[in-house]
Amino acid sequence: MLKINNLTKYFDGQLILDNISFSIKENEIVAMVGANGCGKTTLLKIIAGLENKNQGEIVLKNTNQKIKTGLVFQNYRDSLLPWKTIAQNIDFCLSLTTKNSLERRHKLNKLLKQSQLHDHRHKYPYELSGGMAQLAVFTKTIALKPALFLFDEPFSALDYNSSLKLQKQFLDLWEKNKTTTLFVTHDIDETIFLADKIIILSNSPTKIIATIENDLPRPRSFSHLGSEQTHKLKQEILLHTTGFLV
Amino acid sequence: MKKILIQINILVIIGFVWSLFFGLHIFSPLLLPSPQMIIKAFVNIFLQDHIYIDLKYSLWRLFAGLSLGTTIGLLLGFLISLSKKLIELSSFWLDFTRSLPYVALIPIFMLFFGIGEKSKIFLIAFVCIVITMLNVIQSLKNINQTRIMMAKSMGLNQTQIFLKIILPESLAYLSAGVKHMLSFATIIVIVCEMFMGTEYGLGKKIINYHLIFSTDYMYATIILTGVIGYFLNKSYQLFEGHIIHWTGK
Repeated sequence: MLKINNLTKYFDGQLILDNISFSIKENEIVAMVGANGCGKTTLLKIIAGLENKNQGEIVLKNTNQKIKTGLVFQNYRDSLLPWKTIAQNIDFCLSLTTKNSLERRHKLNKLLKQSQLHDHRHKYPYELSGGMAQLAVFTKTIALKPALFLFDEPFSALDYNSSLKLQKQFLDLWEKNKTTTLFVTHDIDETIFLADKIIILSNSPTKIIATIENDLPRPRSFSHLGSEQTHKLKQEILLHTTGFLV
Repeated sequence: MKKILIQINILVIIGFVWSLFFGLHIFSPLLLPSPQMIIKAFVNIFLQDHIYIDLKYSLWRLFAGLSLGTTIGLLLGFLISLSKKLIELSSFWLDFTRSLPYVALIPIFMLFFGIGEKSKIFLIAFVCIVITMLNVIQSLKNINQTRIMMAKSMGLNQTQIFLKIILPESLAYLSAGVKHMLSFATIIVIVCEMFMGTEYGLGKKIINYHLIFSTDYMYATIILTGVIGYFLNKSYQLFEGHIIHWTGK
């Protein structure tokens, strides 16, 4: 569905992304793991069309959707419009794809129920907890019905429990529409819990070190996190990221 | 309620100390009338001197200047912000104009527009134009880039981004400027009325009472301008709390 061929990016003459090539299948969740500052966010911005590339090709295939990519950033407070309530924020995104007001209201109610934000619909972003606010960001991104979700460390600003809870909430939402997703992170547990495929990146200049398939069954639950399969995957990822087996 | 009671207590203490000074005859009553005399004068400026006519003139000048200046300032500010080159070119001139003591411009405005209403309103408007322009340019510099990026990725065009993201977001910064401008404009109105020739206005009344040595009436009018400034500020804060409720949260 998404194919990246030989993507290269320079910043002030310095090589940041070195010949990156990978592909994502339809309805797949792909995680990119790499250290801070390795160029993960730049890669997402290039795919979203917010940054120019120097070389390479990005092909987003088989999409009829009006909006190609739905971005979610680490800073959830900045991703919501603080002058609008949660319902208004989601409705703003819906208004870009659905013009009929009755249909829009129906979709809004459905989304609010699915994400369990119905009771918070009239609240402003500053009245919500971090986890709730990021859940609202996911919901509004889903409302856009993009061809591809691009998430930039979406759970990293939250504490461990809120992050885990939100990952499960995101998976529950994802199960309903299975939008193809590419997310970047440096959290290995998060990667294993969410992704079907894990791409490991080197430090700058960024190259792909390895691609690991994650066969954990779906729908996933917290019990998967303690399984033998998860442990093996974690070792394999660590082997590539740290260079030795723990 | 507790806060109001504390403020009333402070007022009573000030009144008491003031009365004490008055009773000790440290200053002549002409320089420092007693609080009782000022309270009496405060009632009389309304009942006998019909100060509400002056109040009406002062407020009219204030709001006319504010509306005119803010409108022009907003338009010019947004226009300049369209180009980085224009921001660079105008920044020195705006900084220079901002540093001018505005009351020093009174003679120029009198030369160009005479001693009528025009010169006063245009001077207030001029001050508001400069402050508003600076605020607009600064507010647009501080726009949250994540939201702009998000809007772009959502496929919003430049006009939509301006109307739906930039404009509401800049309100928070602009509002802080309006508060500052309100106090500034009030000072300019009073000074203009003192020195630019007029029949009515609070500034004119203060000068008149001073010239005829009615210092109790002069103090009463000064206190009235303070009360008006305070209520204008408080009313704006209430309005601001409703319109840009998200700031500082």
